[in-house]
Amino acid sequence: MNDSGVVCSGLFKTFMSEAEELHILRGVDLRLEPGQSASVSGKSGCGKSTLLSILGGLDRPSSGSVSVCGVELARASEETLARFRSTQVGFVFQSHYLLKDFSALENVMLPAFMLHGNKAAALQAAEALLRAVGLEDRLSHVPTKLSGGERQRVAIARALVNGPALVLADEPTGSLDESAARAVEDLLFAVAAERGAGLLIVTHDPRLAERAERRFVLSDGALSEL
Amino acid sequence: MKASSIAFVASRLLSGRQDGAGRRDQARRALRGAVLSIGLSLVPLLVVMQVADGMIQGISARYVELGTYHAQAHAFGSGASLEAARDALRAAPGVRGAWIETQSVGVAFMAGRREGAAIRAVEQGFLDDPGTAAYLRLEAGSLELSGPNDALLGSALARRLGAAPGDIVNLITVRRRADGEPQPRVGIVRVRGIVSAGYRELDSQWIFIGAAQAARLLDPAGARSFVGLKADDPFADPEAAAKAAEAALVEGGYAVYPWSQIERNLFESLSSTRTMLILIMAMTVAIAAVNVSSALTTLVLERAHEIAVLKSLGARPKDLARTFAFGGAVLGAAGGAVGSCLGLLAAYRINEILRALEFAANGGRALWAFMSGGAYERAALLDPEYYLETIPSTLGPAEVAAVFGATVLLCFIAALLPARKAAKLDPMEAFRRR
Repeated sequence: MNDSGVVCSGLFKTFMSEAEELHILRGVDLRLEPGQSASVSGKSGCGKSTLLSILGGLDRPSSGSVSVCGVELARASEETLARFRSTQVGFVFQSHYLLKDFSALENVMLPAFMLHGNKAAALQAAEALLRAVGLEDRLSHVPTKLSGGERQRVAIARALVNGPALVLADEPTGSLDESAARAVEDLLFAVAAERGAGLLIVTHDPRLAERAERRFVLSDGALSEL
Repeated sequence: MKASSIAFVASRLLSGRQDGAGRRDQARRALRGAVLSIGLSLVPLLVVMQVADGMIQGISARYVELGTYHAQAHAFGSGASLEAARDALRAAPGVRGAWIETQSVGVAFMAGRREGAAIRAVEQGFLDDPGTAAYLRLEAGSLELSGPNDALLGSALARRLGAAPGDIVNLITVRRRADGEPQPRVGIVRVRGIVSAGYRELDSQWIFIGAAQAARLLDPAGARSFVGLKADDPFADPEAAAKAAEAALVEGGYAVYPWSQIERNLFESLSSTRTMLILIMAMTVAIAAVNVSSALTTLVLERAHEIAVLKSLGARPKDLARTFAFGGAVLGAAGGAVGSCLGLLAAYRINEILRALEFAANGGRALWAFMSGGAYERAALLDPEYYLETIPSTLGPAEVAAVFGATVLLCFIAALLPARKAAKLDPMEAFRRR
């Protein structure tokens, strides 16, 4: 087992609905090497986003073990999970999830500022990343003044600002038109590869899924590699 | 998260940005309302504190400088002489002046009008003392008791009698005959001046006369004589000053009482009233602090998604709790700043405010009388018979700072509930709701 990769074993996740138990994940096993890119496809509601949340330390499995970058997430304390989210993973959500009261620059610098407390250094790192994603002329724009593609590029920069080992992207191009989606996915793969970060993408889009080194399908709560 | 990051996030969450139409969200409006309610709740509290302090100090200083002196030396030994005590006290360190005073009561009448009077036989030095001069305002005539029948009348007493400088007033006192039977004695005094202590209770009673006249009019057995002394600083430590003065009377046979002891009931009553008023006003601030808790709870609910995003970026539960608790303290500080400014302004301008209210009230009464065809009678908001003519306001920077600090602390505590809510927020639940 590689401590710096992703290792899931017998992962179960069950939700309680009004009348019944919903078994979303039923014994998921997954191994990813550091720096590898992977995609997970599947029908809507099959549990792709739930799996991503568990791997990102936002949710806990009902049973099973999950280790990401050497952190055993299932039994980790809230403090450890927060530290893990801050330093080891970066999230890119479908709806960008940028903070509307913060400018593009502030959105990107925030994770670094929260982690190290050095605003000047955080701003410097954020500006460099925004330049890297082609938004040097949008630094002071708030999310509502940015296009959908620009918002996703800001979200990608934010996910990378603390130098994570793994980027988790949940339908990163799902809300974009064709050309913007292509640009965002190119950027995502490029900057992740450039920084040596692993990339796990959850997507409906077969074309996007095919770009990953490894492809998985989640069906009936079970994960299988194509 | 470090304090600087917490402050940065809190400031953005609290201040927010306007949307395209220039509107702010519900939570921000609630926050503004909370700040305003804190500010407004502090106004009556600060006014009560500043004005009550001013009134107590005003009344105290007037009583101390004009009535009780800073301390009184009473002779209880058979051989004790007040003249000797006065001279010894004048030589004592820290004593500004000492004078013999004799007090009694009588009835003043003039042109068919009759009023009870507190007769005070004082030395001219007492009238010339700067402390006396600071509070005893000469309204007419002269502040002198040089003539054998000279008297100074309190302004309210003079008005009731219809007396003016130069008028003759009859003064009836009671002396006891050799067989012990009381015998009324009528004396004549000439009004040399009309004086005001600025406090109607005093102005309606006092008649100042000279020592020679007191010897003729007042019965030594029924009058009370003592040496009144004034120290350099009467408010520093009255008890210690009285003890020091007593020590200066080496002959013995004297007891020295500080002003704080002589007027204990009055000052305790004033202080208790002040404390009760402040407690009542403080309750309004506590109620206003609930608004802070409510507004921050609204913010947490409205911003659940952003809080979830912050968690996904690595914010710990305690970071979020600190962010909202800090936000509560900031709201308290903002409300405290607004309230302190408005409160101090209102306290400094209390006389103008009261006059404006009185003017408005009388205007309303006059209008009503005009409309209804009834009679209009001007009414005073505060009856000067029982209050100082001008309400003094004292600046207490330490007290204002304490109120400000307590407000910040109160709002910080009020914010702990929404802070806890933010800390416990489940990010996945917030994302799913979205």
